[in-house]
Amino acid sequence: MIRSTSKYPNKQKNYFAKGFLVFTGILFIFSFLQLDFTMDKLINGFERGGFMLSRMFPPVITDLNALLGAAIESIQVAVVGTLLGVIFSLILSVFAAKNTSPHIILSYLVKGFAGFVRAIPALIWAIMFIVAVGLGPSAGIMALAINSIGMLVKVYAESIEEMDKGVIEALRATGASPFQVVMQGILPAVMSIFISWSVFRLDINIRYAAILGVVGAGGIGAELSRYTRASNFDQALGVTIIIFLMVIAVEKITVYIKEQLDLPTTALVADDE
Amino acid sequence: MKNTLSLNTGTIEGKLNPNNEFSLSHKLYRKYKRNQKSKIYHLSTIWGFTIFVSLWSWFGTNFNMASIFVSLGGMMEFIMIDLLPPNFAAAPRMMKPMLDTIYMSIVGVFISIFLSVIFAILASKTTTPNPLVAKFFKNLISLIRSLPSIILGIFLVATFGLGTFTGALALGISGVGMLGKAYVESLEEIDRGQIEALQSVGASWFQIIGQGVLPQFKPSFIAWSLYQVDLNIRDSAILGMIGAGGLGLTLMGHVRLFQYQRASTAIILIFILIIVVEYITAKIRERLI
Repeated sequence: MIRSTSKYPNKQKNYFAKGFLVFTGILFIFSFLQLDFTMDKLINGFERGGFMLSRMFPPVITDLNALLGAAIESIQVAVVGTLLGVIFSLILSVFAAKNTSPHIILSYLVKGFAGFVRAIPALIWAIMFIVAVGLGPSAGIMALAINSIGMLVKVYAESIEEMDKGVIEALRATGASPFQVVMQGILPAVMSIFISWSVFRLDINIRYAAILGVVGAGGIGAELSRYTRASNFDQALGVTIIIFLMVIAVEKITVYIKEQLDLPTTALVADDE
Repeated sequence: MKNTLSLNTGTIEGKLNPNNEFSLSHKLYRKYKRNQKSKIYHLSTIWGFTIFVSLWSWFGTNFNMASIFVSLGGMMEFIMIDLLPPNFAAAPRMMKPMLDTIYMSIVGVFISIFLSVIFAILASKTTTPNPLVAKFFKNLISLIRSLPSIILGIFLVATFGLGTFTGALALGISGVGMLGKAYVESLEEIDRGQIEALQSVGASWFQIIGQGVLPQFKPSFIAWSLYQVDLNIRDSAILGMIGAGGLGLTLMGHVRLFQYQRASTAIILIFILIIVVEYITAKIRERLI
């Protein structure tokens, strides 16, 4: 991502950088003026903010059991969504990687599909699945699975493409079937990087699962949007704290697993997060 | 079998002559074996845990193989019958929300950059005036990072009311989680020699930041900030759903009114917007760095 060399000569780059700086300044001011910002709004906001804070503190958790149940449902949705995403991506990535795909056109097709799926945000998938299959965890699971496929197929296929060609050729030379090539040649070579990406994706999915309920896909987000609609901000803050603890706890577990398995680190920049 | 043999001889030899070189390698071998055993134990625990969690989640959510096909079938039906063909007659009216989404993202990025630079300079080991301050700001950044932007949005909408300004504010604050972390990491990676050189000639803290730190920080600063623009475009489409303006709001409105062909136009516009912005930021990044 960060390169020190550029294909453009230094002087020209300098002019471009200066021009760009001026341009961004103008862009910021112009964009800011287009927003519905007024001084009244800001002052009212601060007044209301004080009021809100007094309403929010102390946070209240009235029905801990129901909330924990919802949090567990969110975690389960994230796990199953990730699991399905990983399984489908494993299959699709073999077709997407150029060195293992049966045909180059198939590779472009699968990669194009993954790119399309990736570009549509997870919550939009959730809305579409809610309309298509109805409210409930199934919609959330499918939305997360589809969104995971978009990212995982890309990174899986890239790691397959980076692997040593010799392994596949040697297996093919001995007359191994395509299935055997995948099981004996590809999977052992890319196993650790695959696990690493999958665990990373689980982290992302937990965050999504927590907010899927806001659009009606079940889990703890539904409780949050219920309380904010009723203006029970102290209870909403209680739910937020539980979501926060949930995300942190899962992150700690995945970090521990990554350390124990001695996995290669994945880039911080992967997808939206 | 061979291992057991050498192990046995090792024990005898080691007992007979503690200074024997073989006893050392034997000890190492034993240690290696023990480590390997505990590693296998660890691995099986982790895999067992993973499988247990997967099964527990699978049955806990009442999900089964059939629901995959049912939901994919339902999705196909929904796309084919309700979503397609998109109603492009609604597109001109979506230009304003689309521009709103862009404005929100840009202002959001500037708010994030402004806050993140301050936070990162205070939080990174290289530049912080005080280790305690660094710890505080690092925790603050990870706190913001753990809070999904939509939750922040819900509270901000309740405070500042509906509208694009609220959206920009939500994007700006939640962006600090990502951008602040990236800045802190890049600041900690820079070459300390230049800073030490400046310190040794008696430069003030501000001079060190200006002359020693910022020039080295510039490339990663540009790259990460542009990446944040990409992220914001995605997030702002989502934030619209809770009333923060932009294309997400339009999309939600059409979905609520069952106008799916208009909703699909909004989805296509969001899709195009994301692709175009990613292309533009990639080009700018290429020219600037």
